[in-house]
Amino acid sequence: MSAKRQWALVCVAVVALVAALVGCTHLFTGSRVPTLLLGEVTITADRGQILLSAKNMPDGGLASVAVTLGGIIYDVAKIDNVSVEGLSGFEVPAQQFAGGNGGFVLVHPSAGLPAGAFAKITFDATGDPTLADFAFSKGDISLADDSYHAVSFQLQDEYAYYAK
Amino acid sequence: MMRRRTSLAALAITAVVGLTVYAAGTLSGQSWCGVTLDPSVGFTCLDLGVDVSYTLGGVALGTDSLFLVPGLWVWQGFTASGYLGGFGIDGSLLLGGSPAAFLFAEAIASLSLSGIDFALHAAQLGAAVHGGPANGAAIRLAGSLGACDVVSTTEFGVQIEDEDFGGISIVHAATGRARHYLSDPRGANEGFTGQKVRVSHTGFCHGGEATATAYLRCGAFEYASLRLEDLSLANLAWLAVDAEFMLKVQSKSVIVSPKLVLGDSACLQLYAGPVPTASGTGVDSVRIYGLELTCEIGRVTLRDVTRFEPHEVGLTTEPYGSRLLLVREILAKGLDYYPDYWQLLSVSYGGEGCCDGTYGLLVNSYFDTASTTLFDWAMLHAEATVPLGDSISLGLGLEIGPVGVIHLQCSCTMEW
Repeated sequence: MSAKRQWALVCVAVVALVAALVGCTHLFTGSRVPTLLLGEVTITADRGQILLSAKNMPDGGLASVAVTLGGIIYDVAKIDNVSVEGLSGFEVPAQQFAGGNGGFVLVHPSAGLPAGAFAKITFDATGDPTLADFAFSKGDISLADDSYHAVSFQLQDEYAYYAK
Repeated sequence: MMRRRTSLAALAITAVVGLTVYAAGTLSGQSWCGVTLDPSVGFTCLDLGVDVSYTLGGVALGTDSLFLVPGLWVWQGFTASGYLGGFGIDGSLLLGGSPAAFLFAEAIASLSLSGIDFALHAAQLGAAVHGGPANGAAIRLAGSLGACDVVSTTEFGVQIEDEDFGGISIVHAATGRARHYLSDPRGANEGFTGQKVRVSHTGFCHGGEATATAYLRCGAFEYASLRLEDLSLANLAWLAVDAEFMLKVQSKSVIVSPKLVLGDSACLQLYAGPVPTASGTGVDSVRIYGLELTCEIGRVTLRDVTRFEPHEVGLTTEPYGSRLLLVREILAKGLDYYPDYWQLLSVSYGGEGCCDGTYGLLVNSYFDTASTTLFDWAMLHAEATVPLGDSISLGLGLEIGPVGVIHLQCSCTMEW
């Protein structure tokens, strides 16, 4: 086969591959809705942890989170000594966990987080608690972006992985 | 009878090809394992991996695993790469462990021809990943026009990692562990989604580099930027300046970082930026965000990084280079950083070890104003790589805080 034919074949293959990929694009549409993701409980020794992550946050990213007291309900028979810790530079000006009810405020002092983990809830685990032993009430959770605008979001706990 | 002959012929051909390939090529590779210990809770993580290289035609295959204790298989990664003359292809595949699922696949085909580098990126994100399913492709062309280097990226639903865009990370939601890839499929319905053109010129203004970038998305202008690096004046050889001008639809920004070049082995870099007036139309003053002093003495490198504006700039973690960056940039690029530490003192040492191996030692010491220890000391991060023989090397990682050991990591790499 001559060199010209080889190059022609390579060009045709490349164009066909691109066309096929572009043509199939309508089959793949990822979600762009601002999302608060709850990670599954991980337990090491007797200390449990839940990671809270944000994704698709608009206008400079997630800058503050407020969960009113009772916005998180947990099973006190399995979960005790709960606290929340900020990640990615988020600070925790207020938090309260008592009697199976919890709430907290998280604020980033200087910027917003477009996507990634922003907090972790840690607790003493008895037995084998899972995320099902926590109830997060979406109506009691408020998010704001870096421009101080409230963010309408979805609460998601079904995905073990996310892309950022 | 015909079927039997066909089967025998196929078997014979497979055996002949296999033996030929086995005789012609050599099999080599690398395997490693890493153990992470958290002294407060014990054994927490196990990294396992194997890279297999087959020299015939430059083909290399690899796979790696990540397990967390107790019994959580986070993922299984596969890689393949092959080169033949100017043509190359790299592929990556990531599968979820528990639950088992397709997570991500990426293929990069590249071709160098007459001074032009052509690359086709194709990527697909699985439905098991939040943000997916998505897929797409991008074409990257790079070449030189006179003294200028030109890079053109045409996007069909995929953004490629470069200086302005950080690629894609697949994150395990429960643990925060992440895998990074170059091609980010955005999964929009439209075919053509964006065009980026970057023109850079080296030797600009006494050895500096100027880079101009314009980025258009499918429906709108995204940004234009001009980045100047290592600019110096003929009579001021001790001074070099980095600057970046960024224009977006509704904003513009300027970042200026002067550097004092103190001979060949030392450099002092100032991180500063203009403070706008209340009206936002002028410059009121210049604010210094941080300072970095680097000094190289033989095989030893000393670094001192200090930040003055804790809310504006942050110190990235060691995997991200321990650099001083704007917090806004750190979060936008998805990097990890220390929000509390105001100073880093670092010593690194490296060289040739026994048996053709290389050894390395890095000790970072961090300081925090909230710390109650001597000199505000807050954390020590140490890494060491020690070759033990021709094919074995050990790696050690350690983090110590005022309360004791925070993190301990041991790894062993074997080449065969």
